[in-house]
Amino acid sequence: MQKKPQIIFRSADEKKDYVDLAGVMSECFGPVTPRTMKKWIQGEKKNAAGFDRFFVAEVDGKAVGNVSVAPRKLHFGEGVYLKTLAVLGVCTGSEYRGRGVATGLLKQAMAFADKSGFSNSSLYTATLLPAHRIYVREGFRDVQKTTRYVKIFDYDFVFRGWVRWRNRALKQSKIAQKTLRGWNRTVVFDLGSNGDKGFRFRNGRFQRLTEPPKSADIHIVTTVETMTSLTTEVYLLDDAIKAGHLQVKGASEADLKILNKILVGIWDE
Amino acid sequence: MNEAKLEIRRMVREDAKELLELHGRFSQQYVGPLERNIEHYRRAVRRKDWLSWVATDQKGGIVGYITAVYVKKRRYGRIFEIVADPNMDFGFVAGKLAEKVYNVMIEGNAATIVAPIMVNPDYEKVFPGTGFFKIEMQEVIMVAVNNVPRFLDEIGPVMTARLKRLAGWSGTLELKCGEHSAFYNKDGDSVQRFDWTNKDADCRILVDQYTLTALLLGVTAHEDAYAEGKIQVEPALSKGKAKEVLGTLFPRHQFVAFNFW
Repeated sequence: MQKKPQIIFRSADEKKDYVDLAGVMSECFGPVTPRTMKKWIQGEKKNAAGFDRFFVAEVDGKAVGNVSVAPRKLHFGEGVYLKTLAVLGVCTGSEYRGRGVATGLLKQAMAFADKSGFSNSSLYTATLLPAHRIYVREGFRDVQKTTRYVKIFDYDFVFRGWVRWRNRALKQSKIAQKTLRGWNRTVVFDLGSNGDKGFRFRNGRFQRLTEPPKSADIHIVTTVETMTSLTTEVYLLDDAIKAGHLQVKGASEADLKILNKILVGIWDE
Repeated sequence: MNEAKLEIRRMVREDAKELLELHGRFSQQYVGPLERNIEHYRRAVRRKDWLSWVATDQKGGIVGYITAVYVKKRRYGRIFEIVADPNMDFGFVAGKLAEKVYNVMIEGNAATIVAPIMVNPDYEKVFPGTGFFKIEMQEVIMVAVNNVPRFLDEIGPVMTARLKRLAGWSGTLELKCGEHSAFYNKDGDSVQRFDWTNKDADCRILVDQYTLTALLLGVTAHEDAYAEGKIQVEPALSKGKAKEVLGTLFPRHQFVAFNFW
């Protein structure tokens, strides 16, 4: 029987972890260069949040997961606030998910919070992400969902950008590449007054269709509002279909499952 | 004040201190982990891709500001935050500022404009009227209480301030969260917090740490928590009195503000 690999949790080492962590962070949050990662770990370049401390999960000498923490204020109105330890950038490389890496990292962050005198920790995530279950298990509770107002002037341009972004995400995600292997379909969205938009998945990449074909493998009738909700992780395809906001023709159960992942952009189970 | 006399101008480096003070006054209205420092405003001025404008009154005092970004290559505009003096009509000030930024983005041939990710009910006065559609996001702020006694200790000033406002009631209040308690003795306008007493409290509120956090942040209505049994009041007070006590201790806020994490 193959021996279970040992996972080590420790503080990040600025000299050796930055290349591995740049890869892991890129997989989870979009492109991050090793140089930026190094600066983040060193605390030289702070992003909007400002990372203060990095914890790393290591398997066979390679950094495979990361979490960072930073002190914040949690306002209670009336000008009163509590100190809170913000838990930021929780991510695990796709090959190491489901092995307790994120849970271990979260425990590290919580232990650090307790040791540093914080009575509470907070984080910002999405309820559709599989990680949300881990956060609930570790004692975090939803406090408030967010709202966004959107106005779209040129959906054709937005769709073009979305296809490009899908390809970039695909390049970063091994799970996505594995899921889409052998899936060749043409998908057309009928967006009413915004016209038809479509893409084809072939040879391992998404191609936007400048002229949507008369007959597509999968034909979807919906609105720009629903498409925006789907592509911003608000809605799942199944829920949109059940709510009558979207009609799909020509898709099997398996196609729907894959299409949901493509639209929402979350590849983990 | 004649609100029609607002002037909109670009944010300059020298505004930073005044903007921070304005944010300080504004932040009393919201709950959540949004933070600003002087460097934030200096950065807003420094960044060439940011659209940072302020609204001034007739005397030149800053009564509101907006920060946004326009990414020309992606034809993507995003409004980060709109802050207005609490003494002014938010809808009016924010509307003027949003209009300015909106026009700049339109001139830049924007394909998409995304307005702030905050739960400010006042945004309803600003955005839907100009063709924005609203999306309830799945993004959520989560809080975990790691250390209940310390948490009870830290919320002491909040509870004391709120208890002072409870008119016509004097006595000892026990806030019991799991195995841990915090006591408050209210005598007229004076409230004293202490850790333990051998006397039974006149009023005991039993609540778990998660419900307590949600109640303190005002994102759960105390009426709902009481009806669902998530919060109990002992000895049983009349429904009206319980509502009054809980309503004073846990007022409802709706405006939750986030940092961009």
